[in-house]
Amino acid sequence: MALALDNMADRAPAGRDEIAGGVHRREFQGNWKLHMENACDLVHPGFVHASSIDSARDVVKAVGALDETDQEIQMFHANGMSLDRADELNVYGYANGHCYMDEFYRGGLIDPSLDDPAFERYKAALVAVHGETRTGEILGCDAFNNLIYPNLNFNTRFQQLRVIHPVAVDRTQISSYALRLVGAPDEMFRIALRFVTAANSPASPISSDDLAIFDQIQATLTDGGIDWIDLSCRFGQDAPLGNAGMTDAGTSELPIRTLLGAWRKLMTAA
Amino acid sequence: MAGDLDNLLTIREIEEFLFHEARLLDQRRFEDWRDLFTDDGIYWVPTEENQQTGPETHLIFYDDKTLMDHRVRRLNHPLNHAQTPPSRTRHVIGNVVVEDDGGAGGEIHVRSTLIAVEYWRDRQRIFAGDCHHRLRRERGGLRIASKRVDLANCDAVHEHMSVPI
Repeated sequence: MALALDNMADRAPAGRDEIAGGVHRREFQGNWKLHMENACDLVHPGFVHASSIDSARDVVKAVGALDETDQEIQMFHANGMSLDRADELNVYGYANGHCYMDEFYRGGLIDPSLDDPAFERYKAALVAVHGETRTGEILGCDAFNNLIYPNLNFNTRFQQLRVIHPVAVDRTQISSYALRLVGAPDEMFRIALRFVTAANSPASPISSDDLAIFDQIQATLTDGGIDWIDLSCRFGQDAPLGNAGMTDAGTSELPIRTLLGAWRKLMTAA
Repeated sequence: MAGDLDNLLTIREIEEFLFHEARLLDQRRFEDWRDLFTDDGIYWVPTEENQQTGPETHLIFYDDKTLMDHRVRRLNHPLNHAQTPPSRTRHVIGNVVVEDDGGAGGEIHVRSTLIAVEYWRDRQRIFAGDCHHRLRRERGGLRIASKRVDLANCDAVHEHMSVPI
């Protein structure tokens, strides 16, 4: 996680980021852990976000090509990857509850190998500071959501930072910020703003469905009809990393078990 | 006299148009609502007060015609969890003022006050704000080149907002 945090700063030619352009503040009637679990889960997008994925596919068909659509449409579309594709990616969990997942946005404006004049100017500014090799390493850091337990979530590629605020057992607020890479062209900040608005605005077609589902999960658990939720997907198939970490294929519930394991440890300490 | 009468007719036409737009949203005729916009139309709801420029800050809505099209398709999708059940809304438009009549063939800038009530899953909430419409005469009628809603609580914490305000 230290590497990902460093990467947030390294991506700025001046070596620092600024929170800029305001904040998105959202709320749902559910427990804070639901949002953390969701942010490191590659299974839910296909069905929770089916309405925005199918609509994005329809828009792509109408426009003719994915590359010719808006950045936002490309993002909604990318959520529609198959479970087989998710298993080609990895998820990671560490003993103290920190987790992250591999990047899965490819193509067009959301592709890491983005080929446009603004990105070339950005890359040149980084090369001037770090040289070609190090710049390649910085831009090659391909983690998507990085969760620092218990309530911080950041995305290095799209310069996004989320803070999860538990308000009550069944009420949670989320603040989402876009970061400006100091020394980078303004266009890079616009990509970050469009990312945070498409994914984290109260009106986001992605986030709206997540928040509605969190409400429903909370209501279902409160009703008392269910005692347990099965989180055993790919249990026991994790491979060890360094630093007391484990990794497995994308459909594993390893990150959720990691988050809840840290929670149990803290709640039973004392 | 003739000028005053023309003026009154213009204001009445614009009011009718804004009421029609509000009615389309309340009736969930979202395709028809989308079609009120020009091809380069923008619908946006800022998070900050007095925000004049578009993509420089976090925006609750910032839809060009393509994103509007996506949003409308999603609103009609059976697996839209945030619209299960569908929201019921009522929009009230008042205090309509023509800020700039655009002269001959120019954009008309209209300011109005909006109260919108949304009811969803036993929860009812109220939005209040100023609407800024920029209207053009196209295809024999008025079309929206830009609609900006400045919410009184633009920077508040919000539950999800699935239907346009």
